Amino acid sequence: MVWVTPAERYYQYFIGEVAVEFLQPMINGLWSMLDPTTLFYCFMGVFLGTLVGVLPGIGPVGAMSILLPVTLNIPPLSTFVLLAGIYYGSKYGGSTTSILVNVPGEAASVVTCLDGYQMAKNGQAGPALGISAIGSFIAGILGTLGIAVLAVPIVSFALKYGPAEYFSMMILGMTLLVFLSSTSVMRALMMACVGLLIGTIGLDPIAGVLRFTMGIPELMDGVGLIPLAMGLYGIGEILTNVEQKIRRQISLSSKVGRVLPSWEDHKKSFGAILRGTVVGFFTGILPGGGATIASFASYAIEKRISRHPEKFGKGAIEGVASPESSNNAATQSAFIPMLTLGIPSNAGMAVLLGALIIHGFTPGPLLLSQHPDTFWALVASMFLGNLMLLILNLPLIGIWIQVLKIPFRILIPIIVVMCVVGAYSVNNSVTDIFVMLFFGIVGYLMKKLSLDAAPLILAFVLGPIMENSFRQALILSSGSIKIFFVRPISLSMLIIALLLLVLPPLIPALRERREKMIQEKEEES
Amino acid sequence: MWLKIADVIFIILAIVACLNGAKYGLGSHVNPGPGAMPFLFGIALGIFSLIDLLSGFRKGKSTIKDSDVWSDTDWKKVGITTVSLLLYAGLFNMLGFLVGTLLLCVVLYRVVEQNSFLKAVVPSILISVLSYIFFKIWFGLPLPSGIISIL
Repeated sequence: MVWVTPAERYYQYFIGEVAVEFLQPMINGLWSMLDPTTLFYCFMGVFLGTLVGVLPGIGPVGAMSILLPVTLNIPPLSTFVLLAGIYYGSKYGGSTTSILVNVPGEAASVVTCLDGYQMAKNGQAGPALGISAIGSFIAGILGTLGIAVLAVPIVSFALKYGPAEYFSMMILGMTLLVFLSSTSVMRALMMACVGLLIGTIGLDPIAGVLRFTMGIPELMDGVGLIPLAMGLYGIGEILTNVEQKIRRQISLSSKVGRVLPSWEDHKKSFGAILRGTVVGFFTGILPGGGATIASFASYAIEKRISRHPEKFGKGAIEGVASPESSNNAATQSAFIPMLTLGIPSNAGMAVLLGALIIHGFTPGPLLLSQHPDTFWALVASMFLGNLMLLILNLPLIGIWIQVLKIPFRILIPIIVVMCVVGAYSVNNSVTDIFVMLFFGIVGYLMKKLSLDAAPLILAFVLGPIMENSFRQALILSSGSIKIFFVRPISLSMLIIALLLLVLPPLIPALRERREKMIQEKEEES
Repeated sequence: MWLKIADVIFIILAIVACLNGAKYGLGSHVNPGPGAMPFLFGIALGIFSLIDLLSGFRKGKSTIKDSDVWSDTDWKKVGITTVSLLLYAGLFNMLGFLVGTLLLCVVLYRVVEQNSFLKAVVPSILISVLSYIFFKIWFGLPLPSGIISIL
């Protein structure tokens, strides 16, 4: 009798033999993750992630963009593990500054300030940091389990998609991003169009015609993701920070003390952590949903269902546990659409998608079927990374408190140098530095005018894929545009996208809800 | 007002995209030409920008006030940083990575951060030398040597 593991039984039961093919690569992937080099990069990723989370000024997307050129010289798996580590590690670090200094290191940690800082002022900084790390860890692990469980069914389904479905899926993805953007729908759409236009710069892949290169030979290959992302998120942030006077001091009231929460704290937080994880996981899957919305949503839910809502905002431990779990679960689940469908749900995932393309991987369902070892090793790295983060953020929390004392402005020249080297080293060309500086100035002006860069960068990454799918679909249908409307999945996605754009302005309740969301985000920024 | 100016800039950008798209060739619906997508994206950008501009006029007031946009802007610091970065890029090959980075860091620490001369020079030397060792020697990146190679 053949012994069947519970995992095999699950996969055979739910999606048949296809999944069994993934079990061996899954085991191989888990083993390759234990390679010392990969482990080192995993540690570096989560360490740097926590660092950028702790230091307000440069976010995870900026850090990922800056390090992207450096990763050209390291193995692909190490690259993905490093960049992914920065991405989810930053959410752990973000809470530290929220709790201790009332300055969120990361947008997703804004809501943690409400109760976290109050706890610190009440002499409970330790338990606040502790429950934040524990909640983040539980959510991170459950979120990663979610990726492992959902990846195979989604990929099996997506493999049946044709170019028409892919095109419609990109349209839906971008619409969702625009719908959930922090600015108005119209401005987010404008930013997406600008991103799509930037994506057309360079040699047309089919006709071989140069588009918008302005006679600059370096632009023949188009604008690189690295100078674009580093400009918008790296140099743009630097220019914003140069003029800001961020004063950070750890007040005497925020003595950390014991970081392990009491049994009572655990009892209060357990439900909040689980609810936050569920809310965060499903919010994170949506393009544009992201960790910030997840943390706000879970905080609001927790406050609403609490028996003591009046304690929220005054140091309720559930007010820390819930959003912190939620933003970490959302961070993990954001990997699902990117890894399985090739659709990044936020700018960080777009940079990771860019890294996949740069290293010769085909994003989307083919990633799991062509490189299952890499896929599963990346998933395994998230389990290990979360464990490393728990250690970094509980017993070693003292390191980050010391880091908090470093003025960010001292780091500005270092970040500038890394950006310049990063942009230059892609093609050994000064033009790339100028491209980066140009987008840096654009990014700075966009920040001033509260224009969201995420739709731009996502559209830039998705644009060429979308153009290819569109052209392929038209070739398959001999030029008939009906192909997008006669295939049920494609049609459903287009209808949903249309409803998302049309309904909110027409239905007052939806419009009010959206406006409230934008207002909340503006207040937060 | 600033958002309206931004809308106008986007409309101009859309017109440029459409004109160039038409110049590259729109092709047919069976075989879209190289200019088809830029043309479509340009049209979309133009429509969205125009709607945003008109709705801005209709609403009368924006959620973002003009005074909010530039209120915390330190033009001197932003200007010096931007110009020094552009100069750094322009002179990157001539000065070389080491000398160029040293000068840039000194400017950023001394002028932008307003540190004393010693506090500006010491970290600048450290950053430029360490980054040179890290990127050029350890990672082997072909960063320009510039005037150092002449010396």
